[in-house]
Amino acid sequence: MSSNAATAELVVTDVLGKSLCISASDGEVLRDRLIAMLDSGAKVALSFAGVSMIISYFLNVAVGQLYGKFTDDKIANQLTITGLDDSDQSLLERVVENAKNYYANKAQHDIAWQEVMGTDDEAE
Amino acid sequence: MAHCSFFEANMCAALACVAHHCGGHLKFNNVQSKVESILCKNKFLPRFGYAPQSDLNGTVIPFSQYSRNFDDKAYQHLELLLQPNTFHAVTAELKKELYRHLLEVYCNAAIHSGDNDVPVFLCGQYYPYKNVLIFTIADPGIGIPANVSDFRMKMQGEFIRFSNGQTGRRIKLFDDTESVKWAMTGRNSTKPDLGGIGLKTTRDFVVANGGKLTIVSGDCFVQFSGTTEDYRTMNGKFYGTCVSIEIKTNRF
Repeated sequence: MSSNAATAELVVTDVLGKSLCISASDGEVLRDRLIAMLDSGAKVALSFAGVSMIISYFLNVAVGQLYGKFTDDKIANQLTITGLDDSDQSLLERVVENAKNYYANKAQHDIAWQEVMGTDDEAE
Repeated sequence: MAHCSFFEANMCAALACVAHHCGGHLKFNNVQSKVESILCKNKFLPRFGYAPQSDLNGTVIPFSQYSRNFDDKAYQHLELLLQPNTFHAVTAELKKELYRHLLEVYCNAAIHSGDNDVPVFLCGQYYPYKNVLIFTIADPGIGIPANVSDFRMKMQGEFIRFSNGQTGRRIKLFDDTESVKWAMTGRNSTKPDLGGIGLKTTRDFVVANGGKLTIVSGDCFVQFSGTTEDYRTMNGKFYGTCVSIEIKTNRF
């Protein structure tokens, strides 16, 4: 990661040590780095240069879950993403749209999930 | 299998689910020579004692079995599975997209199969004279309907107090087809956090390519092709989930 006064660059292949963005666990590693940087108020340029494969399960965690932690405005002001080809960019846009929809209705979703998993007592 | 004169090689992934549910007690008898050749070349029948055969045409995508948490290895294994003959005329963009969606389907199977020990099977076949490549990924897990119906019932059920004083939910039942339709909307997921766009993006990719996406789970069969969504209710149930991706190799 290099930085200047305005923006810190975060290179995905440096963070993960590989060019595959597939697993949710790798997504968590990147997400946690991004959360720390965004929390500090830094502007972040996230580069996917050199990444050979990205799928939605990774992006949901790495980028999508940021929308549950920060406001859309904060993410728009502080995070830029580069290094994606057209198909990767299209996937990212769908992940972001899905994340915004999910977090707008998160309470309802989480209640239902807890009931399915039997983690609450279903008491009124 | 005396009356089976042809068996699509990729469907070995589905057949492996049946074998899994049989607990290893499935045996194959009276396999016609043509079928035996297909299923020995793709390394399926050798799991049941048959002698392997060489794939001289380079059109076989061998039967493979994966476990959960195999994400990166699955990608690396895909690159080994897909032989140069299969991809000599395929653009790099199409290859990348195909890999992406195979991984999406694999992860979907691994996450939703309902049990850590449930395997995921992959098998494929290249038809060079038709410029068609077919992959099937199947798991013998609880299936989409069981996943979705349970979740939707809880989501849409209404809390009531029964005459005995206990509380519970008034539940609307959903059939397997409704459940699969729900899963394909692109905004629904039964996972505890974000998810739910994998199958939808795969459908969009396959349809844009001019190919077909076929999903079977429970008694639901659906095939997406062009603008058509062909939902059917089968007479029997498939215990698990079977997803077939058919793409045109001469188109993006």
